[in-house]
Amino acid sequence: MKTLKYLTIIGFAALFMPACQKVIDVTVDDADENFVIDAFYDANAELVGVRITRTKALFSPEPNETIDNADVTLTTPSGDVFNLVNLGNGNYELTNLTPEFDLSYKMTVLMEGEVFEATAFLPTPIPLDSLTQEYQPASLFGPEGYIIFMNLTDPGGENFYRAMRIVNGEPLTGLGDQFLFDNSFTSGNVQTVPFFASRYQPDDTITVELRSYSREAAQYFSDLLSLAGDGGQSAAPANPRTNWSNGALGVFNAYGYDAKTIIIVEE
Amino acid sequence: MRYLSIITFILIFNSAFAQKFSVSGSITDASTGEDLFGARLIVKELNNVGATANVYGFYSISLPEGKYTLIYRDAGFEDFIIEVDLRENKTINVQLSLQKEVQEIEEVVITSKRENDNITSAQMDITRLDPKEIETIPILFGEQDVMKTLQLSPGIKGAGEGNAGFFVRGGGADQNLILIDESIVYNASHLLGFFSVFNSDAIKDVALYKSGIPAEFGGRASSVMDVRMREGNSKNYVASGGIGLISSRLTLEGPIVEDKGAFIVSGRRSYADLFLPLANDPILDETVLYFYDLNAKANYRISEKDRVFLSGYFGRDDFKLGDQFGFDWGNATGTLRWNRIVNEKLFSNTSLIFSSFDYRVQIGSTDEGFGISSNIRDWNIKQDFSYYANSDNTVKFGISAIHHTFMPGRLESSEGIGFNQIELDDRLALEFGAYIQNEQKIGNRLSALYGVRYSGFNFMGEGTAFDIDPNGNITGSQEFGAWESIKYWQGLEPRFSASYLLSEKQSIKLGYNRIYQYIHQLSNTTTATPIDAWIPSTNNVAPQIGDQIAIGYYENFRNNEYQFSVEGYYKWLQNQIDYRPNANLVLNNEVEAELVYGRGMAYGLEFQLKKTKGKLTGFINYTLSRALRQFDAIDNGAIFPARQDRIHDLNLVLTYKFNEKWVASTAFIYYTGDAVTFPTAQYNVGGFTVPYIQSRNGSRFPDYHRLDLGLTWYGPKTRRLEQSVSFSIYNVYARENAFTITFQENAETGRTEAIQTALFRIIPSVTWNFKIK
Repeated sequence: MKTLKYLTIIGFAALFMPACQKVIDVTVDDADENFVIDAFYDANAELVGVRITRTKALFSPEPNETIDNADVTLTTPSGDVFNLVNLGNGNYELTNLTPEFDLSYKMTVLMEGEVFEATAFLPTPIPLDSLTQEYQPASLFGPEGYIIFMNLTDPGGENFYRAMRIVNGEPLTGLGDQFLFDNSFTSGNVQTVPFFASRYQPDDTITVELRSYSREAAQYFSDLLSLAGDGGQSAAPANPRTNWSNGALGVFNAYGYDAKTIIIVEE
Repeated sequence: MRYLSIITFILIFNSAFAQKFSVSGSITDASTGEDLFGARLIVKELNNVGATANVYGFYSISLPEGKYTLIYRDAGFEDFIIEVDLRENKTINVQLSLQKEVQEIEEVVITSKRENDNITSAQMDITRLDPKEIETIPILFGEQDVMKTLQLSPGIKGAGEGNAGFFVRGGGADQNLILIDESIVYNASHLLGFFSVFNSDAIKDVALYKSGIPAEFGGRASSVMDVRMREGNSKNYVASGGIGLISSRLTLEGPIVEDKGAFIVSGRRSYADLFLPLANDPILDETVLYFYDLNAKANYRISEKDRVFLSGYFGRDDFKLGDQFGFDWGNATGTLRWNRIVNEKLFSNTSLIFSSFDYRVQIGSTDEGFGISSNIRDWNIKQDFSYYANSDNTVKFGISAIHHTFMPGRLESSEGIGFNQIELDDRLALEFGAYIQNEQKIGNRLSALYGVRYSGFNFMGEGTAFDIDPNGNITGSQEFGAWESIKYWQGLEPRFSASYLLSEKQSIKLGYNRIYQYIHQLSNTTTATPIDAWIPSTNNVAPQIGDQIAIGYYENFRNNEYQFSVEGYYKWLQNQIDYRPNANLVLNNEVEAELVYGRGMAYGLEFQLKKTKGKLTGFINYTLSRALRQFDAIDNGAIFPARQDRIHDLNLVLTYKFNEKWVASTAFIYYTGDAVTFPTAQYNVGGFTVPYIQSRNGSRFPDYHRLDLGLTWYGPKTRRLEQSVSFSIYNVYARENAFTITFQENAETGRTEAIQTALFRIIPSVTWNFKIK
């Protein structure tokens, strides 16, 4: 709804004059340093990846400092405990881990004498039935082109989706490229969900990964998206709600996905 | 109850005097027949004895038997003087004629109701505007706007460009009671805050109370903005209007039966969208963007003692982008009033009031898409009495009841789009008020306005009440039947305001008020917009309570040509509302679970210097203030600045009248940038750069300032036609004031940069105004 609000205000202003943008100098307070544990389990790739860093000053051009000497372990739902391999430069990894759906994984990180723990639930991925296209004339929302729709059958219950795209071989990794939605208004329905803001041209090849997440993981992405996209306009800005204990930032999430590909044809 | 007995005692004490007779009646404008609210009766033989006409033009005074010279006076009118031999109660209805020279320059007169009213009235600091007074002040797009002009007053702060709300003395944007002819206006802005809903042509008077708020008002913790519509000309038919860059206005008024009744209909519509097809751009072709207002009012004198009024306001904004997106919202209000002069001393007003506000957002078309809508609807019945006990005491008392229906949200979608239809439960409540207050003169130097208001709020079924633990989890719920009380809140609200004259030119004033606020507006952004829902106090949400003390010193010098004042205040706010991180406030039946509660404090010093006479008039205001909040759930309970914590706030408005034809004006506005939460560090998650938030509102937007210029030309007047043309330039030196600041990584340097977006640079405009008689 916030997006809607800005769209309306900016849209109105745009009708009268172009909004003026410029880079300005802003001073902010110095912040405390915090650990950041960015961990995921990709069930399709059977891969657990972890990257551990520290926060850095807002305007610092340096990369975030990495933590290269942590002990990272993963406990599977069946109780097996695996140590992740330290790849150096803050990265840790575990490969060939067969998924156990609808169950929880626990990760433990030991570094600088402190212990951090997080638990992630791995939901069964929901199938993506098909991708379809539709022609759109130019409008304030975008130029002329084709928008694509995801067609899926929500199985009911509580489902959280995050759709990611690979366009002509390039994964879209921008903040606004991830599409988060849930079934709170659509539970149990056949759904047609558009990527409304993106327009494609004939012969574009788009692969959509429809990832399924737990409520906590989806909430983390939604918090992150609204915080990172915020222009000092949120009435209650806050750091994303993390599942890490002991004050670490970041998240541990587990997901599987279904993917489909569409090649745009001229209508 | 203690307050009531004090008041009763004072009344009895004061009425225990010798035989007195009353003089009462109405004071109206001889040329239009409109009531002259605030006009005065001065008794020449008695020092400091007089009466003031109420909003319906009625006055009453009690005097001992004897011979008197009565002077009726109002700014811009010739005095009407009559000698009476008072041996019985008398009714004197007076019509005041415009002063001759004033008739020629009527529109540019800036004179207070009485030259030293600011010194003598018991009411603490009331900011009063007559739309005529603001005609020459330059304003955005040349749209004359009482609300924007009020925001130039000390302690009243506009929420910024692209923002509908305003803040009074550190209070929240939802803490202002905005009334048009007694009816609550829930959303007072058009086009998301660029214009207010008040069409100046239809408005007679605007009063803004920010401290010592009289007991007749209740329901909002920080201020009352009381807007009264004109009654219409009961002598002649008149058409007036204006053509501006953004909108045009047309007002028709005239007698229903001469001197017995009048009507006024005033409309305004913006038309920027009508030109869009000319741009020959398919995108703009399909865009709809307009607002309109319609004010209508009629009054009729049924008998010497009875008069009825029917007034209404209807306004709407509509914004559409082809069949992809639509957003429209609007207010509708209606007021039916019956004035009765019960006897020479007792004046009664009975009102039945309706008010509603709704919005609808449509995504896609109605055939293929979905829409979200919400509304709030009130029915209000009110009975007010004014009792003119004697020349030293005027007592007001009354009761009111409001039935609120909150329809928080409904989602309707077309078949096949995959959305379920959702309708949140209505929330119902009854709000009660009862008050008594006395305005009393005690000797020649001291006058006081004191009273108490009882307010009650019954949150009731039919509906579900949730039990919510301190962490925002729903732990249970209970169903309630229709009219069954879920939670009853109530409170006593003492009100006090007094002035002590140090001399004819100097006074000090003191004010205190407590106000309970039972309905609250939720907004998860810092800008107020129409989709910010109102919710009632419930079993989980306690009423907001505002307490304020204020003290002021006022001095006029050089024959009231200059008015100086300094006021200090301290305000306590209880049960303030904030939100859990990423609170979902739209289409959420359990929205109360998203709220956290805390307190607020605000204090400040306001300086004002006004020049009221001569070729050069205007004012300079400076406010030094803080607005702070404290919530246990935010920053571990630390005190943090509210968004509107503008430490320095300066407004300068000057008007120079060259001659009868040309008037120039300028306005300069400066304030400390709003408090805002900027990140202080950053990190990476999943390939995204994530800002790190350390404390609420720990940073500042850049300071806001701009200069506006205006020039008005008054055309030669004929018996049939008056006209003027206003030119204005908004933001003369093209200051880019921040609307948003976002942080983005520069792809080349890898360094994070702060990117500021401003909405406006320089905006020139021209408006033509006319009046045809």
